[in-house]
Amino acid sequence: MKTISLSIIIFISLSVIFGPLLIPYDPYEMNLELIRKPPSWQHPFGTDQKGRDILSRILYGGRISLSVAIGAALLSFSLGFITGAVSGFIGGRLDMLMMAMVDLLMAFPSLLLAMAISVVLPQNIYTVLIALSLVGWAPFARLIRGYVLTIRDEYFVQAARAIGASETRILLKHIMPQCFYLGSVYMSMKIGGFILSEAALSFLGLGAQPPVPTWGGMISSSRAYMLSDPWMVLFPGLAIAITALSFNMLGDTLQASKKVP
Amino acid sequence: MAFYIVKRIFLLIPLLLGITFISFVILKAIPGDPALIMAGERASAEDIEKIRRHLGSDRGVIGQYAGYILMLLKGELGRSYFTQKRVMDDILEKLPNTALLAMAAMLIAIPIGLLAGFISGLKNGSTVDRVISGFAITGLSVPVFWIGLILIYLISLQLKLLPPSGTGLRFLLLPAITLAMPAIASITRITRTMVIETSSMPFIKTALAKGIRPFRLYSVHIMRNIIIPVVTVIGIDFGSYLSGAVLTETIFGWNGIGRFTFEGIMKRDYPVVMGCIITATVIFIMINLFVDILYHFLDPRVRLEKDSRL
Repeated sequence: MKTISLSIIIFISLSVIFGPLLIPYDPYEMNLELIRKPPSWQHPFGTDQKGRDILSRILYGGRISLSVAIGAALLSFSLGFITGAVSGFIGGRLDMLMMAMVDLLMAFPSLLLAMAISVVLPQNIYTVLIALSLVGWAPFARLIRGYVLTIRDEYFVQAARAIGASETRILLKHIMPQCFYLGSVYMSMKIGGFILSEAALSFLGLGAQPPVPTWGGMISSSRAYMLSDPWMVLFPGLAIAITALSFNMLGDTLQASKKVP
Repeated sequence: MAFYIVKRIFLLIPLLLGITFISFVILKAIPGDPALIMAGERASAEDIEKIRRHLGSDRGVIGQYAGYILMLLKGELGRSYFTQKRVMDDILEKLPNTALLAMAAMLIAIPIGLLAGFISGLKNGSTVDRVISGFAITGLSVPVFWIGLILIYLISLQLKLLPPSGTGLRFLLLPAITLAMPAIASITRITRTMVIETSSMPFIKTALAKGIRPFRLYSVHIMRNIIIPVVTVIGIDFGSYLSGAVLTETIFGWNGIGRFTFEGIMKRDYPVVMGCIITATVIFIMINLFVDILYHFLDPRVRLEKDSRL
């Protein structure tokens, strides 16, 4: 399972990074003679309503969709990691305030809150990244904070304190590295979810605007042609599903190998 | 028991205040006059003046926030930019449709998820288990809106079995299946995990040793122990069903608050979007409160634990 999902992830990443260099078609170039052509040897995934090659749009779109999704996961992780660790370590009022904030964010249906934030932000490729991160850091913060609470009175912390390490040093050198593994496993479990959220938001027309390709956006713009040309909807959806599936499978194996809530 | 419920309801107050605060901040982030935004672009001068008075544009941020809460308390979510109708009226009109869709989806998802999870968990490690688990993780990974489109293509357009879009009982099945898909997957997964965990407990061995009939073992002994986590997962996932409703209703042209939200997003009709999201969040919180209270009836252990903490 782990090998399969990892190889699919590597395959997708390599095709998204290097694929556009190998493909002879420009994802933006319109060709009136090639409007909505079914899959063929020249265009394995067919062409869209503006005569653009769907495969190259999926590869370019993958660059954007995957960078946004993984970027949002990384940003959520960093924000949550820092706030969670600091909040759990310092405790007291700050901790109460931070956790009230976390509880509040988690009281919203997360994708709906991300929609609300995306709507008011200026629309560009960073919109979805920012919206997903503003919502997504809360569960990370709660997880890391909980873990810090369990380790902050351990012997190694007391020992560091006994030899005169400053509180900042204890937090940075002793507590944070301890949490890093847990946090990164949790993040890899969540990437599949970030990919689906990015797809949903770009399907709703939030974030990167046409003609910039995103996987969700491609599905949304080809919906109208579904009866006559179903491949236009089929391939971008498969790209989302396979990518999310391999990340979710990887997450499952990681979860099974290491107990993570 | 009654005390616990009252306490939980009181605890909602700070949460609701926080939620209105976040929605207030988002509303403030929209460029333009908040009163104009609440009133809608083509509102009469009186309306705008009235809302301005309510919001207290001259009163500083805290005063404005207080005004905003007062308006919300009166059930006033503002007016649509385009139709000039009160957002609240539209939501009340569309909410029953969304509730119907959500119920139908749950009616599909809960039995299938429980059954699949049970089979998978009892046959842990077998081929059946692997197939079911494979389906479950796929169900969590496929975008809801894409499943919807594929179903429309196959069932409505190719096989012509069901109509593709509209509102009403005849149109209910396809969107309900779409919305149920991720729910089936997550219910299957939690049920499977819990069945495996429960089956290895000593009291199951005791029951088996005493010659219990399999049906009674599953329906009473195991079921009682997995019901809480399953209900919890349904409660927590309800938020994602609400987001899923935005996509599903849009695709199937179902006249509920999900499609209303989508239309609001497309037209940048801010009062509509914010009104829908506040409504959805309140529903989400209520459902989770209900789930918490339900625990008390389902599991006496929770009752003892929580009561001793009071």
